Amino acid sequence: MRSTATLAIAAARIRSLRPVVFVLVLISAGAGIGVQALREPVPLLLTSLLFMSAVAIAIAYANRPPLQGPLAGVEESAPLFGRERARANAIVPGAVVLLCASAQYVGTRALGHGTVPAILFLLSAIGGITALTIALSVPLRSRWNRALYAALAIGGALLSGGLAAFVLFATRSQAAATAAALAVALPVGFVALRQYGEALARYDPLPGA
Amino acid sequence: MAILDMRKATFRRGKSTLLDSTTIALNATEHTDLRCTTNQAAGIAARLAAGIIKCSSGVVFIGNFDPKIQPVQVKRLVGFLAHQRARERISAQAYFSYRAALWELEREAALLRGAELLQRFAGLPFDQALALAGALLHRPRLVVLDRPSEGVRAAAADAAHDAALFAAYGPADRVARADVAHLETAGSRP
Repeated sequence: MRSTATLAIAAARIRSLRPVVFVLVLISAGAGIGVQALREPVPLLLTSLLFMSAVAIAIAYANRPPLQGPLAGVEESAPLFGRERARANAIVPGAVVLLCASAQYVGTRALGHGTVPAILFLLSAIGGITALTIALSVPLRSRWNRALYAALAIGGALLSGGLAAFVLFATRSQAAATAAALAVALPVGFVALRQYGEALARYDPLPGA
Repeated sequence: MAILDMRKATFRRGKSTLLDSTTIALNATEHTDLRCTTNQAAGIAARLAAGIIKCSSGVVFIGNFDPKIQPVQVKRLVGFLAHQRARERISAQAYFSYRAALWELEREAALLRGAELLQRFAGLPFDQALALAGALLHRPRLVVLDRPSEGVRAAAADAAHDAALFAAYGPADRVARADVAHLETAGSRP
């Protein structure tokens, strides 16, 4: 993989996504304070997973190459394979999802009562990454396929978190729960990212009118 | 050998035909323009010629490569300049570094060539000069311009005198060259 191209695309994304990231992190911190009201771990994890799925879909939408300005059309016209662009395009949104999960946790610690176990946020972060790898394809789809991919993204996060929660309550082992979440996230993420690369290679970005 | 060989190429999305059958043959150092009936058709024609999007029917070959099968080889040959709508500030160094990374160019050499090109395009507004210099940074064999201004079209023709040049225009754009009528084949149907 060409690391210079990957880094260049990631750096360009950081520049363009800054305002979106700022807003998402603030909302995540607020959500972290809010979810404490749920008290029980299962609804708390479920709410957190749904929230992280929403964050993943939002950042996937914001992650599109610029349509205006000097960088418009540059990435699309560069001699890069779809899979290279897919990996480069996933780095910054992935980091944003982790940042938002961390902001949720910091929100509970800074302003809340601090009673929510950290493992729940780790599981929701893994669920969020699972959702993101599927959600990256959402902007490349149209109409019902777009809704289907968004539903798949949420489903991926719930599957990862649900299995982890089952293992956590069955074994009381945080390591086993994390491993269960990763056992879903890694294969789903691998397949979804490959599929995203294929979709990028086939995608025809239309100009504005 | 034709650097751009587009035969009866159309582009459809869903049930809409956004670009009607278009045929263009462009040899190594030829320059030509195409006027389309809508701005979107012009943008699509330019992107088809640059290998960024793929035709729905007909064929497009760029330097004997098929963009559907060999997109990376095609894009190494093409310098594409998108239609500039918004002015956004970016430093020349950051812009050329970005393009050098994407085209696998040696960074210092790219910065030097970029500076030379910028100096050459000193008469253009900075954002247009920067975008044009970026498109020519990797010494493309085919320069594709999407609805360029007259100044950009002239500067590109001068700088890419040893390369082929194709410019696509919308209905309201002023086309500098006089020999565009025979190519007015592109259109759009709702």
